[in-house]
Amino acid sequence: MQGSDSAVERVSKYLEVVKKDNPNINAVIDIDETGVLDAAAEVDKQADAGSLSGMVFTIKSNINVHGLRATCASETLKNYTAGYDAAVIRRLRDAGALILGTANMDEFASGSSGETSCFGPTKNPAVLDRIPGGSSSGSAASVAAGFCDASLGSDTGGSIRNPASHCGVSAIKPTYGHVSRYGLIDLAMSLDQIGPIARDTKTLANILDVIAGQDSKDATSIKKGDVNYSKNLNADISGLTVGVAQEFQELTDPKILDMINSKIELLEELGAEIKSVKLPHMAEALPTYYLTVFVEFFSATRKFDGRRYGKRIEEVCGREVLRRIEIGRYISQKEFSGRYYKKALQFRSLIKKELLNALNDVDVIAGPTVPKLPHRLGENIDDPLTMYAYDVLTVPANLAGIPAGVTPAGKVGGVPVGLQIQGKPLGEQAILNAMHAIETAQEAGR
Amino acid sequence: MAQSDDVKLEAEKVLAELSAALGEVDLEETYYVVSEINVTEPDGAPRTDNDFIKSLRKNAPHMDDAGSFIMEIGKWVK
Repeated sequence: MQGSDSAVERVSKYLEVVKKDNPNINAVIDIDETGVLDAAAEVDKQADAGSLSGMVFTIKSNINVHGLRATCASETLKNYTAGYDAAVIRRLRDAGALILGTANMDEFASGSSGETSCFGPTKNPAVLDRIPGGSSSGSAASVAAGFCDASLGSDTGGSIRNPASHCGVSAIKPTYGHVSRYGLIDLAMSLDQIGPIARDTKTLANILDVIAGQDSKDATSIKKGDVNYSKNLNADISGLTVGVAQEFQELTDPKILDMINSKIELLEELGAEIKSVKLPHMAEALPTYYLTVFVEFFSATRKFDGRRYGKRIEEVCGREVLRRIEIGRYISQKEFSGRYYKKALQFRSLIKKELLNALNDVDVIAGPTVPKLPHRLGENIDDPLTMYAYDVLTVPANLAGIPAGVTPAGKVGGVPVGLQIQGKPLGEQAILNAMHAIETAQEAGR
Repeated sequence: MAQSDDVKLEAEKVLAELSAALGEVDLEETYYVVSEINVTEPDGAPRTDNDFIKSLRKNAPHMDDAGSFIMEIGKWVK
């Protein structure tokens, strides 16, 4: 059980905050008041309801939660109600977790600002006039605003890490395949990964213990014995080797970089060994990522033809989604020449090889999460390439399938900035330990 | 509704800029990071979940009295 209050008391307190503040923040799309209170009452009846007993969640609106709408924040699926639970939801429920409602997001996870939702933009609870980041905008904002204990988001090119950094909360994108994607509505199936967002690393570790593991319903899920990240969480990082890549630093706003470098120095003071690593092709990661996403997204959206559910996507979607569909359609028609998608997949091999080679010499790579501070809400960013550039530091982890976490590093001009820690495939424990060490030191005033 | 022609022009520009940023590299393609360890569900008798069927039907835009989907030929092929 989370704290001394009963589950019903905890849920009631969160519902009060959501009702008061959500009309302003717009982080939650649907609140399941009756469902969550009934589930909380059931949890209170059991002596041991599971390791997440009474923990209150919001769920990104592209993950199927039985009985709630899975809208992808799009007119296309605005009236689509999930007929089943995604694998992660079933695991959460079995562990005693409580689902308060669904979280706002960029339409079909196509954005990094939280502004493209058909339900309107989400505000950043840490700095109300700024974007919260995206695409898991409502997930990060609902945690930052105190609407819930934790949230599940999805990360295709940084969609969990980017909003966590901007909103000043913690998050982890697990290794590709470590968490089942069954029940997640695709953006790009070879890159998507579900992961948790919370206010501290211990909660992330607890959630990951529950949601990680092979699932026969997801053919790309991988086996990794019994995981126990929470039991093995350790703030003692003596001997941990931390790589720093100049290529990530060169792309970043100097003010953000100063903050990030102070936390890398803190890791060194805490006993880690800092090493320089070389990643010469990171500039190619962004075009590689987007060319891959366009094609896979186009393919994923062909089922939204308005026949079995929803509306035909091209007739009702927003500008960014339509742009991605058009590019994906064009590439798919021209792909016989191998000019775009095949080339992107070749560069993906190169980027993956480079990152895995760098991780042979170190345990984790630390650096910034987003290269610039979040822009002001409503500030018009006309150029899509400018928007895409928000993702330059986060897409390499998705291309290589490696895990990456974000922990708050501090504030620049009052705006939160997150430290990104990337690790080896299935190296979540080293990432969580480094995040926990930073968090513990900061709590102690360092 | 988004402005389709504008978006097509923008799409061409974005594609040209992104593809120009990639040079040549002679490597095998990476499709899935874990493609060598796929798993599948064990074979078994098909299951009928009436609750699921009922909720699925609720999402359909058009159904007839017999409970069948009414399929309209897409406007884009007319």
